[in-house]
Amino acid sequence: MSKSEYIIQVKNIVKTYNGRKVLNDISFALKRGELLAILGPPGSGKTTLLKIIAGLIKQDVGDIIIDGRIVNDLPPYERGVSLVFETLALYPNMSVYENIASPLIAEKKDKEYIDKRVGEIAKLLKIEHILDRKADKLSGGERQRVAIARALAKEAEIYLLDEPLSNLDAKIRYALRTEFKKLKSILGKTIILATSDPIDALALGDNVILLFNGAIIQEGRPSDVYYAPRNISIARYLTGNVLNEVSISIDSYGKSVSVDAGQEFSIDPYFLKVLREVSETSITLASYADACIIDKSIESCSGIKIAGEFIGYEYRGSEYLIYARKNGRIFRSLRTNLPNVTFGEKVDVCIPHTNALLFSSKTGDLIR
Amino acid sequence: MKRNQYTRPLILYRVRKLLKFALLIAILIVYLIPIYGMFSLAFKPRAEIYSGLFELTRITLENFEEAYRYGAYSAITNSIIVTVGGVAIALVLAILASYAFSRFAIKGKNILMFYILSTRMMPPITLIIPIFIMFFNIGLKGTYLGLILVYAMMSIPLSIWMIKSFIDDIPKDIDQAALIDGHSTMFILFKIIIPMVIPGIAASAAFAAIMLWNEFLFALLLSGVDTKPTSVLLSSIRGERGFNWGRVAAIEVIYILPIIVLVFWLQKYMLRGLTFGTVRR
Repeated sequence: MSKSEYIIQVKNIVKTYNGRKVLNDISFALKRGELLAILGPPGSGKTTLLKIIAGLIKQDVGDIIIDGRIVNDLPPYERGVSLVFETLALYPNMSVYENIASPLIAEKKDKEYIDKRVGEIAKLLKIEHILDRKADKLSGGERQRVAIARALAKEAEIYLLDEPLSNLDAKIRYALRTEFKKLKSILGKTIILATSDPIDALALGDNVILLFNGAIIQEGRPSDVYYAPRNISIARYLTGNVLNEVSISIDSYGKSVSVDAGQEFSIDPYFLKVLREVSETSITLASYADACIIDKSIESCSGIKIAGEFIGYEYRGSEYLIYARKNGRIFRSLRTNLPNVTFGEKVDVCIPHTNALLFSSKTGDLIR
Repeated sequence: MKRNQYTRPLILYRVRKLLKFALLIAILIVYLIPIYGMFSLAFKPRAEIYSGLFELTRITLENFEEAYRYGAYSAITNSIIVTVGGVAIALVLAILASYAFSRFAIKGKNILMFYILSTRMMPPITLIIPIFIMFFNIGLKGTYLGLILVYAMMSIPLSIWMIKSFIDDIPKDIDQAALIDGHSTMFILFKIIIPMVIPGIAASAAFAAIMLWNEFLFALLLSGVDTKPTSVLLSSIRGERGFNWGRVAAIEVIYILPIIVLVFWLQKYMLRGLTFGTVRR
């Protein structure tokens, strides 16, 4: 059999539990050395999908093809996959060394080789100093590293990572994410990463698959998914439900445009033209917080400008999330400094047309 | 102390605490008096046996020498042999069975589990005649092995239920991780699962050991002259001239000590065993 260009192909996978379809016709393919992020809310079927690929759960329908070979009936250890469990699943009674060495012991490698390989991996993941510690005596971040180390110790074609960055506090999470990127480029391995955090998926994935209720609803490069979410619920999910939204109605002649957020708004001529070209009469205009501008007074706004009221801010590590309100709608803007305003003061909200997303109000689908 | 709205409840709280404490002390005394009496009798000279339960003027070991002559030490040895043997066989089988029940998809698993437990529900005396005839015919009556086998049978059900609950508490992800690493089921059981359920194994060993150590009915009918355990010896204690209470008490002291040591040693595991299934670790 000639080697296909894909290291793994997943074809039409269906899995049903007690009459409920947890995975519905899942297909995708992955090239060698790529990182695929499977993004979906908890319960969307990510873990089940990874366990099916690993051979721990049997699919009802569909094929898993790894390196040109159908592996449907192969036990986990013959599939050439390694998995980091969401629960980490370290062996608590064993030391960190024994945990990492476990797959090598199973392969009956000699002691010298095991020592060398465990040492290398421990160095890579910066856990050399805890090799003698018992696995149940580690901190959350250390356990995460040990779990990744154990998975890497196994020579596999594909590494599956189930929520590798969850259950960690923000600081360690951030550090691990950065490190993970480095690790990925050093190792050059094929990785499938399941996560419920859009930031992880968009930051780490070469490609992203959005899995909702057991079905793939969008796939593509992170920037494609981010800047062209197929519908408004995806856009909301990607921002963690902090999407700026306004409803816009256009009269049937395309002459007048009104924004539900109130009368005090202005639209720049270019954007007005764009809106009139849209065939729908009622649309939702959405914008991410990093594209939206909130400031005391904005002179020129090439998009929609709404006069709102400053209601608060959150400090987000290196940036501030500024909140403004207009007629019950909340607008959020991400910026590096605080605007020079007090609570309740009037501010301008500007949604530039460049990164604005237009969705049909009826179906929620992306129009432009 | 200034009187305020909290004063009355505080007094009430203290009185209640005191009452609870007094009640506990009273219960403790009720439980400990017979044990004290047993120890005091065991160390009393024979001439002073009827001088009262509590007076202990002179400590002597003559009752223990008497007990030795009466065969108490070989009876204790027999008790140890049959108890340890029964517990050991029960544990080996129960560990294997409970792992299978916990992890494998077995048809009719719940019914089987209930069936195993139900064997403990019938009165043991109903089994004694068939077992006696069976053992007599195949030559197991009067042997250690015979009693050990019956004892293993008696302790398997509870051990399976208890150890299974401990294995159930271990996330299945750990087994699956080992499968991906490429380990065999036996490796997973012996190197990963068993070390994690040692407390459970210890707890069920302790419960089984206590039950078997105290067992009387099967021991009475199935043991022979040389294999008689302590419980049977104690029942046939009447001496040539009435009861020799000092000797009885001495044998009882020797009989009770291993269990006390065992309970104190495995106390924390046994507590966890009693609450099994109710506490998440």
